[in-house]
Amino acid sequence: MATREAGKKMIMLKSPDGMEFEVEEAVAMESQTIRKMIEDDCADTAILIPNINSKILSRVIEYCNKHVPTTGATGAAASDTVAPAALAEDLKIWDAEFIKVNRATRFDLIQAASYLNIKGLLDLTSQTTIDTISDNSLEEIRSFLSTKNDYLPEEEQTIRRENQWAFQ
Amino acid sequence: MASWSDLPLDLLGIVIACFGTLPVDRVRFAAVCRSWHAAVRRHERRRLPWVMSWDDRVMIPFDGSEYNLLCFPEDGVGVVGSTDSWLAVGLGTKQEFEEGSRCIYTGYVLHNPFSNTTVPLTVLNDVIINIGTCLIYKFLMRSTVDDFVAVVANNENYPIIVFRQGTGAWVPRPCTAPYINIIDVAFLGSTLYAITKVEDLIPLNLALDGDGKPLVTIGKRVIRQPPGYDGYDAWNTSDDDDEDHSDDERDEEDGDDGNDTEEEDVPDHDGDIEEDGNEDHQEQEIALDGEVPPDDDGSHHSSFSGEFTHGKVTGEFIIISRHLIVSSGKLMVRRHKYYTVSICTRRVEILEADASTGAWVPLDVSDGLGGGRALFISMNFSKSVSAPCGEIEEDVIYDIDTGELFDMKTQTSRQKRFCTPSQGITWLFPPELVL
Repeated sequence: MATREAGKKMIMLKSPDGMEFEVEEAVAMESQTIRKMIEDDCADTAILIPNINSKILSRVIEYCNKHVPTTGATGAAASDTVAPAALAEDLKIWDAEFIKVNRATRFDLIQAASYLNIKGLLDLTSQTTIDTISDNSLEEIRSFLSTKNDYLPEEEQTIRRENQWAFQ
Repeated sequence: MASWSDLPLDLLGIVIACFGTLPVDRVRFAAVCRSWHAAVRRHERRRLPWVMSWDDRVMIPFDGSEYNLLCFPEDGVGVVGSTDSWLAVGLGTKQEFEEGSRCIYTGYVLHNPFSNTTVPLTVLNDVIINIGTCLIYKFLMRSTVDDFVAVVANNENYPIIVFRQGTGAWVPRPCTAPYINIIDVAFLGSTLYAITKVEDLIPLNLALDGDGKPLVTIGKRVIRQPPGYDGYDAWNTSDDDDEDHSDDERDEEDGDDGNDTEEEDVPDHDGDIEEDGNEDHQEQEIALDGEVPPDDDGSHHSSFSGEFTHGKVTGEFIIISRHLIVSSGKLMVRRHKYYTVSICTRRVEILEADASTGAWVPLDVSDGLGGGRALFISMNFSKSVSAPCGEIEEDVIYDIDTGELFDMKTQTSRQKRFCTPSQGITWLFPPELVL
């Protein structure tokens, strides 16, 4: 606690395309994967994040920055004056805006969230995917998520028939 | 570009886990492509059914929070019963009274919140309009919406209604035994079985008349308790502290004996089969011609099959309830004793109907529920389910009235309740996925 308030330890995250991001340790530790690396002393000065390009990594850092518990200067003097419920509401609105991205980005985000083990981001990306599935027809889902329909027509018919209630 | 079809199974599993409650989403997810289908199949497991409140709120066991059903009939104000995935929903208005709000129902519909299907219950509504106010305690469908449906209500003139959609309804003659003594019913084959408070087991044979209207004839009692039987023999041999209360229970039962005598005064029903059949039409007429009984607001117990008594020593209220269940093709009664002050179940017995001896035979405690089963109990809908399976444990009774998981083999309740007592009134079983 003391170190964070005083010197704020910084961590360098590197994407495979060569970009470097300097972030507060607390922000980086929103990722359980990175937290483990730090705690196991596997991280010296820079951590290479494989498979996540700079564009996605910067979005992920943006997310973590917003979601790191607000103590001290980061994110607001607000925490003293704003009720927790209001803060949570604010975060929800922010999340909703954050996830308004094209499907390719969302696809990368969900994988990044999974690899870096960031629960909040994983929930957010999963939930958005689910909303897509809940709100659209099978054809629309396939088109939005560019999934290939690899069923034979009769196979799909069988699934629909046996679970008819789900397709009414 | 990478395809969502290529997401690793584990990650798809996380997405699927987020679906949480709605099976409809899991089916649609599976129908998108083969890899998603594989993921759903791998992560799918039998879930616990949902705890349905008296309105459109639903609770996932152990989850702790309440959700509103996404689909609910527009003018639906309350849930009065359920069978599997179907809810019997009362339409009307909610009115505020000093003692709280009360629902005034003007009719009922059958609603399936998973497929968002609503079926009007014209036949039932016609009967109920004619018999006057009543509270439905149980709404039991034999199979589909077009098959026999049995309704148990608190209206003492017409405590039971058997109807078929589109064809008609059967009601007994007003105020007749044994119908007024029925506390629970269950379908088995072409028969609707009923138990009374003294644990008589009565078959009501179901047939159709020439117009396809239900015809109910009362059969010879499978189990007929001797006059004066108090139903507590088994309890009294108990070696737990129930002994303290047993005298009390007898007193309570003596009071009931008045009813029993009345019931036993009715001539043996063995010869009544034909007579009842012939009178069916007439009975129907009585119901529909009016003779509306006075308003019957029927105070609503948490369990209508339960009776209240209290311990002599502690003065503690005790609820004794009985439910009739069909499990593995056999008729069983669950006797349950619940202490309201210490809020716990002290004793549960499962008794199997033995037609050859005309008696209830208690299952041995070491046999649990007889193997491979779990019971879901509620006032409105009880069901025996094969177990262990997914989240459902073997030899365990899930009781909505108490929120307890009761382990039959150890005769103890689990520490953690799946819901708070009186939070729900019935079980709602999401449809099983066919994958």
